[in-house]
Formats: sequence, structure tokens, C-alpha cells
Amino acid sequence: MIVLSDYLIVAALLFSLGVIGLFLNRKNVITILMCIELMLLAVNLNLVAFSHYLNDLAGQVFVFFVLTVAASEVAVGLAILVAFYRTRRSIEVEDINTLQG
Amino acid sequence: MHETAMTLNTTELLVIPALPLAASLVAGLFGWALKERLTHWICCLAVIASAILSADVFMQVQQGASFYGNFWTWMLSDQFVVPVGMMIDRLTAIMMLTVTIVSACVHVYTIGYMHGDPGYTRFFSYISGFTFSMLVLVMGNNFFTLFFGWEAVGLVSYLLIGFWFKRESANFAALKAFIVNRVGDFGFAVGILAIWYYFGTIDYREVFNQVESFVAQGHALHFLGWEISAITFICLALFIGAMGKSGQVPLHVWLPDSMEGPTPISALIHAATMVTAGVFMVARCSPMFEFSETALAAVTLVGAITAWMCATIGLVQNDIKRVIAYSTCSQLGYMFVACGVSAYSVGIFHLMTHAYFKALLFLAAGSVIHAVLADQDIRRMGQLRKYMPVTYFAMLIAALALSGVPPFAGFWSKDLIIESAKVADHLGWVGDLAYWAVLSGVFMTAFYTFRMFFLTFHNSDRLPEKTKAHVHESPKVITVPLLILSVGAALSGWWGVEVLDVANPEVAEGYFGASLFVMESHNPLATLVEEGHHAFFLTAPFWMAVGGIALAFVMYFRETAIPARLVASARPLYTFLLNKWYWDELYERIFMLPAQRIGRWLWQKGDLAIIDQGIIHGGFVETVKAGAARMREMQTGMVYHYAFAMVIGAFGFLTYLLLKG
Amino acid sequence: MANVTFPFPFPEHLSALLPEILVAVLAMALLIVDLFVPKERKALTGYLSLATILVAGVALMQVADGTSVTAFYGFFTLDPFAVFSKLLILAGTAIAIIMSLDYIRSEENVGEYFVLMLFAMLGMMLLVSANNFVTMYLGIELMALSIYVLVGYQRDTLRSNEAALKYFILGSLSSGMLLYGITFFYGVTSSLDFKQIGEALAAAPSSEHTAVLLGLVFIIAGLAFKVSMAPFHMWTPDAYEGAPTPITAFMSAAPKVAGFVVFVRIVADALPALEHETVMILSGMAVLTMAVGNLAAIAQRNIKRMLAYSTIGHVGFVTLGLIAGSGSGYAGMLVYLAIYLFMGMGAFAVIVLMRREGIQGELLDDFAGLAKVRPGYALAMGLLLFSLAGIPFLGGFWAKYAVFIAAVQAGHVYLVIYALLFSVVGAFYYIRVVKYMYFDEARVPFDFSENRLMQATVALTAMAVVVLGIYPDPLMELCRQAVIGIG
Repeated sequence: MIVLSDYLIVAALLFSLGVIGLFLNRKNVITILMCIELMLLAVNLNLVAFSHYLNDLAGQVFVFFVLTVAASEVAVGLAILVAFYRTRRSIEVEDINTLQG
Repeated sequence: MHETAMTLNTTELLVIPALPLAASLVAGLFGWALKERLTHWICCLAVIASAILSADVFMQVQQGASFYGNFWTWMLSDQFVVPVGMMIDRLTAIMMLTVTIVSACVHVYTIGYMHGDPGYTRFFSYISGFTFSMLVLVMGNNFFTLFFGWEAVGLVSYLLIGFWFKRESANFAALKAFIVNRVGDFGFAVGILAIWYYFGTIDYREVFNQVESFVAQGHALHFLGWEISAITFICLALFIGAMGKSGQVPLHVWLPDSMEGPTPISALIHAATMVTAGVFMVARCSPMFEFSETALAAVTLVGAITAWMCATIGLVQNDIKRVIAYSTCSQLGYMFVACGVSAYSVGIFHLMTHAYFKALLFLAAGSVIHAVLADQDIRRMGQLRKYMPVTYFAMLIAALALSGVPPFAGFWSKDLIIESAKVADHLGWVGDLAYWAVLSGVFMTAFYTFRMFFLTFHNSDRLPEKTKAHVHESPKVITVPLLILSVGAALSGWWGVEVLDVANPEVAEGYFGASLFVMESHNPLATLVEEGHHAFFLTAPFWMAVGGIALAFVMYFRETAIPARLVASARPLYTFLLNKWYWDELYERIFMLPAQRIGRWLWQKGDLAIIDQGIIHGGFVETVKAGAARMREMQTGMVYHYAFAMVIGAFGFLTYLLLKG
Repeated sequence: MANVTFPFPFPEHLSALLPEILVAVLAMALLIVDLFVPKERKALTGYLSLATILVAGVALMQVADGTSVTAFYGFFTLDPFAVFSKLLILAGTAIAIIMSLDYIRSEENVGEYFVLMLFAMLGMMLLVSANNFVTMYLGIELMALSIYVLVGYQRDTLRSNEAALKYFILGSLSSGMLLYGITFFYGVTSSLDFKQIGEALAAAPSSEHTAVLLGLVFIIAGLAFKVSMAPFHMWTPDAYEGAPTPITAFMSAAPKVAGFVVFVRIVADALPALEHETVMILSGMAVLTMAVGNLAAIAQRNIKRMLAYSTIGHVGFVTLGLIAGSGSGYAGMLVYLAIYLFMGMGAFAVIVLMRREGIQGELLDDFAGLAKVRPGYALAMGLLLFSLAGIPFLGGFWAKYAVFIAAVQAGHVYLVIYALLFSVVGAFYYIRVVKYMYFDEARVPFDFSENRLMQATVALTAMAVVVLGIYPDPLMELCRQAVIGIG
């Protein structure tokens, strides 16, 4: 029998994976984009699980908004990344380092 | 004479500050069109008229007139109403008189001193604006106008110290004055905020009327485990403001540096008026300070230390203006000692006499500097008596007054301070310390004043050849103000005691009437009367002053070889004093360097990459430790560090809340 | 008119959205119009954007009637609070567009630039009217996505690209955290509406306390990122430095207004039951924020970076109003944000005026001797800096005054003393710029932009801080009126 807390734990694991990947990863910015997706998926999983167990549709509707926005977010993110690559000739996270202090 | 509730003429009162303000605006906005002549006429006439009206107000107040009222109010929030109004009583009147007379003299003097300076009209605009601000400061009827005047005079002072902005040292001095005063003003603002918080009003009269019942209720503050009574907190906070403005240790460092400004400014702002605002404020708040023995002891202690320490520094300085500047710090210390031992009337009395003789001293020094081509080093002067008789005469009177030789002004007021400190038994050791500090201070004051005097006007002629050809007596616009102030420096002491009766043991029956408040239990003037006055030649201060002058006479007039030998034999002490007890260096160590270091530390990229080492090479504990260190070492430019800070931040708050339950 | 029946009831009070609808439609139209504007006359798009803002402003004044209206099935509120903050946002965007007219001339695709600003503005307008997490999220993302692109607008400049990338990554992280927090509130209260959540949280059983705290911390963290509170502030200096200066100015003012307004709504409507915890978190952040902002600013040589840290410092002060949690605290925040909008943007406008061909013109040294070359600019900049430092009787003084007094009234005396201490520290680095302008010799010859509209903007903002300094009552009264009914 799968209960609510199981979903929440899976979502929490996914979210943590996303967050940790975000700051542990030193190599590729694309990985960061994937980590962000992972976090948003955890959020969606939470919303759907709650929505189901609360018998309330609002959560599932919210998921659609989140999905849509996440798609546009990745589009913008990739565009920025391409522009960055053109000037820096690298997409390594450690190379994003001219602005500091 | 019967004390009727005579009210002063409102228009007259408004005109007194309005005239300098108008003159300042005209000079500032249209100075370029008016040319120099018209500008100085407008400003001088406005301030002289203001002085005449102040004298008129002073006489009316002496007849028993007073004024209290608001002109308009500023609604800032439902609870906080800012009134703009005036309270004219005897304390105010004597301040107005002093401020306007000195200001008028300085205005006239400026015509000669600043002649030909490219910033001539700007300068007049500033000093008239200063006069306005100072009048607002003393004439207001609440802490808000006090604060306004306080900030405004500070701003003008800042502008004027940096007046010759092409000099690097002048810029630095201006910045220093600004920063040190911010520290003081911080305390002052906290004090006013606390008054508003506890009393619900900032009106002098309403606050002072409530003080007694307020103290009876026993409000207290808890701060870092200390308990401190609310009234003491308020008084101490206000006094921190006074320390900043009036150059008291340890916030005195800006005042000697402020000598970078033109000399008329040193006379008007940094000797006679603005720097005494702290003393005025303490006297004005006497109904509050009287209820806090702790605060009174602090005032006495700080005053005594400053009076003594700055006098020691003054002994060895070679810049003519710096000698006088340290003397100003020291004399302000005397005034605070007077206030601290509850002899407010004497403190204000000394404020007045000091304003005349110190302004005179500065203006005379300015006249000298003007004559010797802007050189301020007394080692390159000497025998100027021959060239400048009027300045010589003025300086002599000022020096005698400052040293405390009867019958000149300083003697009367300083003697009363020392006698009051002697009988201030209720302060315990602080009172004794203050007595010895101010008493020995008299000796040093007399010595350094006459050291400067002899080195400048007597001794050997050490003028450079180029200067010698130029030396001459200053023009009339400079000498006439000197002579006017000489009258004040000579006679204001006698006038204060014998005519105004400022030292009446029953303060309410003396000149100050109800404007000052002294508790019966510690009134030094009353104790003095019980013990009986001595003739002046039987008192210690008199002989201290004579001794100081005599020593200076021997060392710098007769046996001029002694000083060099003395310096050689006590080199470390001499260096210590010459470097002003190393206050500037101390501040640099304590505040400047760490501030720079913290700034740099926050800004520099941390190459250690603590996270890498923490996570890869270290265990969990190390990681947490490293994370904490990482939190502080920020802004590396690495996006993963930023993300880490955010996550740690969020989890830190979460953990804290969960652990707290 | 024929009686049209929809398959579902037509939303009530749709007219409350009129300004937003107009902005959305006109901005999209502008995107098409821009295609037909010749390359050398792209400023026309800028003027059309200004006209759009004007239209939105007029529409806003038409629909605002001083009452509180809820539209779109409770997803959208229009109350005096929202109206006042929308006016601030419109003003901020307009000033930023004026600043861009000259600055952006050398760039490509100028039309999109202005349209993106309009979309960001639309997001903020939605945000301040949100009383529901869905609306809030959409508003935040519309605003953020537009600004990510604007920050990276100079596509050939590495700094600009890098700033955008950093801002984007961290912004996404903060959105994720915000959403994750929202899910827990939803799970506990089964609602996404602020007010309903507030009621449900007050009645929530203690067994759900952990989930509630989790939600609380993550939501506050997500919002704190948007308004640059430490330790969520670290994107700010980098993004501000890399972005085109008009965008930096825009970011320092308008999104802060929107962020703080929605913060107020959440704290006042959804979190009263958690007041203790909220105040604790916010106090901790405020203490950090004031220290970081004011200390780090001292070490900066780049004036945009310095102003970025100064913005962080100011955010710390504004937070005091939020901590006070009272009507006067919220009113104080509005006063602060309104005055900051003028002085902050004014200061950035002077920087824009000083951009030189080829030289960035952003270092502190570049201000050396400004007073001798252009006394007018120096005077305006001096007034703005003194106001930012909180010198009495300029606007900035009353801004600080308003929030400090509210915090003292709410009993946070130590926080206010701490804040006073840091405002003293803050005065130092502002005054240093004044020193450069007035006391130092010019090192590089100046080459000023002579755009009349820009000069007028600088003059107006400088005048505004003086006038507000002498006579702050109307603004304060307006803000007091605006927050009636909040909290």
C-alpha cells in the first residue's frame, strides 16, 4: 500500500538530488539545467500527491502551470547559455568567474 | 522689579535668525552677480542687526520677559508630531548674545582676512548660514529643532573645514570631522529617540515637567545583562553626542585637525560657538542630568580627562593654531566639569567668557598668520611685537584671560569651576580627580599660552628674510574686531559675576532664574558660600596661573636655551606629547585597518575552496565547520558557492526553528 | 447588445484587470510594429513603450476607486495597496525606459528590449495583485524570465552573458525552493489562497508543525531571493554589474517594490499564525543583510557594484518594516520603496549619463572632478547620494525614519539600534563618492550623453528627494491610506 508519505519521501529525495547537483557539479552547465528540472518535478510530484489525497483539484491545475513555466524557463536558460558559449567558448561551471567580489 | 509674564515680540524673535538666513541665501545664490563688496555688506549688516536685536532681547529677558510657543507643527505620524517653535529664557538669551556678537566680529574680520580669495562670496554664504543654524540650535523649544540645528552646524562646519579643497590635508580633516561627528550624532539620535519612546514627546517643557515622576517610576533598560536606569541611558546617549560635537576625549581627534579651515572659522565655529553646543545642551537638559548621578559623574570624568590631557598636548605643539585648538578642547573640558558637578551656571558663564577670549585669540593668531604669509609655525616667528602693536595688545589680553589672571574674563569663570570641583564631594573620587585635573590644567594652560605668546612676539627674531619684507600690521577691518573682542575678553568676567550675578548660590535667584535646574542636595555653589570666599591671591588657581606664566617667561624670554635641553633629556615624553598621545594612530589600528581588512576579506576571492576540501577530504563535522566558514567568505564569483549559501541559509533557518520546537 | 451566454460564467470584475490586459495587448502589438520601424529610428519603439505605460497608468487610475475588488474567481485583487505599488512600478519602468533610449542605441534588436521591459512590468503588476500562490508564481516567473534576458542583452559582452547565466541559475533554484515550500502549505491547508491558508494554518494540528515550518522557510527563502536579502543576495552584485546600466537601475527599484508588496501580503494574510517564527527568520536575515550590504560596499571600486551592495543594505532597512508587522510598518516600507525608487534610479541615471564611447565609465575614479566639469550633475548626484546616506532633510532620511519608528513601536529596539549603526557605516561610502566628485582632479576627459529627457529625469529625481525631504507628509499620508485593510 503506497501512502502519502512515500510520495513525499520520493519527492524530497528528487528535490535534494536536484539541489545538491546544482552546487556540487563543477563541470557542465547543462547538468545544472537538468537539476533544475529535477527540482521542479519533485514539486510537481508533491502537488499531485497532495491533490490526490486531499481530493482537491487545485494542486493538479497548479502542476500544469508549473510545467508550462518550466518549459519556457529552460528555453530562456538554453538561449542564455548559447550566448554565453559564444563569448566564452566554454560551458564549464568553473569558467563562469569574471564577475566577483 | 517684578516678574510679570512679559512676552517677547514674536516678529523680533523670528527676524533674528531670519536675517542671517536671508543673507546666506542671497550670498549663495546671487553672490556671483553681487560681486564681493555688496556681498560682504549684506552679510555683515544682517548679522550686526541680528546682534543688536539679540542685545535688545537680552535686556528684555533680564527684565523678566520670556517666550514660549510653536509656530507650526509637522504631523509625521499619529503619534509623532514635530513642533517648530522657540523657547526664549535667560539661558537662551545669553547664548544668542554671545553667538551673534562673536559672529558679527568674525564677519567684519573676514572682509580683511579672506580678501581676494576665489571663494569669497561662498565663504560669506557659509558663515551667515552657520549663524542661522546656531541660532536655531539655541532658540528652539524641543529636541527636534535642537537636532536640526545640531546637524546643520555640523554640515557647515564640514563644508568650511574643507573650504580650501585643493589641499589634501583639508579634505582629510573634513572627512575626519564628518566621520567622528557621525559617531557622536549616533548617540545623540539614540538619546532623542529614547526620550520620545519614554516620554511620548520631544518638547523641552513637557519632557522636563515629567522627569521627576518618570524617575520615581523607576524605568530601567536591560542591555547585555546590565541593568541601567532609563534616565541614565538617555543622559549618557545625549552626552555622547555632546562629546562628538564638543571635542571631548576620545572623540576629540577631529577638532585640532579642523584647523585646516580658514582662521575666521576656527574662531567662530571651532572655538566660540559650535563646539560649545554640547555644553549648552547639557545645561539645557539640566532637569534630566540632575536625576542621574551616573551621567553627571561621566560628564565630570570625561571633562576632567579632556581638560588635562589636551593641556599636556598643547605644551609642545608648534603650530600656532593647534596650540589654541588643544586649548579649546581643554577649556571645553572645564565647562563639562562645571556641568558635571552641577554648577551649570558657571559652565555657561565660562562658555561666554571663553567665547570672547578664545575668538580673540584666534583672530589675533589669524592676523599674525596673515602677516607672515600664511606660515603657522611659531618656530619661524618672534619679535613680531615691533611690527604689529595692535595685534600684540589684543593677543596679550586674550592670553591673560585664558591663563586666568585677574581681572580678565577667564579668571572669574575658571576660578569658579575649580572651586566648584573642589567641593563636589557627592561624586566621590571623580570629584577629587576632576579637581586636581583642572587645577594642574591651569598651570599648563598658562604655560603653553605664554610659550606661544613669547615665541611669537618676543624671543629672538627668527623670521625668514622673505617674510620680513612683508610683515605689517593688519588693516582696520581686522584690528577693529580685535579691539571689540578685547573689551569682552577683559570685562565679561567681571560683568558676569558683579552685574548679572551668574554665580548666585541660589540659581533661581541669580541671573539664570528658572532656566537651569539644580537639586538642593548637590549644589556646589551653595557649599562654596558656606565655606566662604577667599581673596584671589590666597587661592591655588591664581598661583598656578602665575607660576605657569613665570615658567614660560623664564624658558622662552630669559633663558631661551632651556627648552632644547629639556627636550633632549625627556625625549620619549616629548615625542609622546608631540604625537598627541598617539590617538590618531590608535584609531587607525582599531578602526581603519580592521574595516579595510574586513572589507577586503569580504571582497577577495577565497582560493582555499573550503568546500572542496571539506567534502572531499574531510568528514561531516569538517563539512559543517567549513560550511560555516564558507558562509562568511562570500562572493567568490562561483555560482555553486552562491547556490550553496542559499541552501545552507534555508536549512539553517529550518534547523533552528525545528530545534527550538 | 445581444445577451451572450458563455459556457461558463464570465469572470466578475474583469475590468479590474484592464491595465494588465492593455499592457499585454499593446506590448505584443509593439513587437509586431517594431518589425516595421527602420533600424536607425528604433528609439520610436521606446517612445511607444512610454506611451503604453502612460495608457496603463490612465487605465489604472480609471479602475481604481479606493475600494478593494477581487476578480477572476479570487485570483486577483485590486486594492489601494496594489494601486499604489503599481504606480511605483509604472514610474520605475518609465524611468528605466527613458534611461535606455540613448544607452541601448548601439545594440541590436532594440525593439524586443523595450517589449521585454513591458512584459517584466506586467509580471510585477500581476505580482502585486496576487492573493493566491498561482498568480504569484506566474507573476514572479513572467518578471524573472524577462529580466534574465534583459540582463544578458549585450550578447557580445562576456560580463553581460555571465551575469544573465548566474542570475538565471540562482533564480531557478529560488523558484524551485519557493514552489517546494508552497506544496507543503497546500498539503496542510488544501488551499492556495493566502487568506484561506492563513485561516487553515491557525487551526492546523501540531502534528503538521514540521511540514508547516518547512513550507514557511522555503517560501520566505524564495521571496527573500527576489528582494536580495542575505544569505540569498549573492546574485545581486554580479547581476547588477554585468547588466546594462538602465536594467540595473530597473532591477534595483521596480522588482524590489513588487517583491516586498507580495511579501507583505503573504506575511499579513497567510502567516499571522506563524508570526513568531516569521519575525525570527526575518530578523536574522535583516541583521545579515544590513551587515553584508553596508560592509561589502566599502571595498568596491565599481560604482554599479557599490550601488548593488547599497541596494542590499537598503533592503535590510526595508525589512524592518516587514518585521514590525503593523500598519505603520507596511506604510513605512511603501514610503521607503517610493523614495528609494527616486534616489536609486536617479543615481543610476547619472551613471548612464556618464557612459563614454568605449569606456564603461563605471569606476569610482571616473567621478573624480565631476563638480568642476559639470556642476549640475555633481550637485544632483551629491543630493541623491546624501539622500541615500540618510542625511536629515532629504528624502532618504524620512524613508529610514518611517521604518525605524515602526520597528521601535513594535518593540524591536535593538534591531533599530543595529540598523542605525549600519546606516552610519553606510554614510561613509556614499560620502566617499561625493569626495571624489568635489575634491579630486579629473583624470579622464568626460563625454556626456546630452539626452534632454535623461537630464530632466536626473533633475526631477534630485528635486524629488529635496522636496520629499522638506515636505514628506503627503507621501506618508498616501502610504498610510494605501495599507489600510492590510494585515
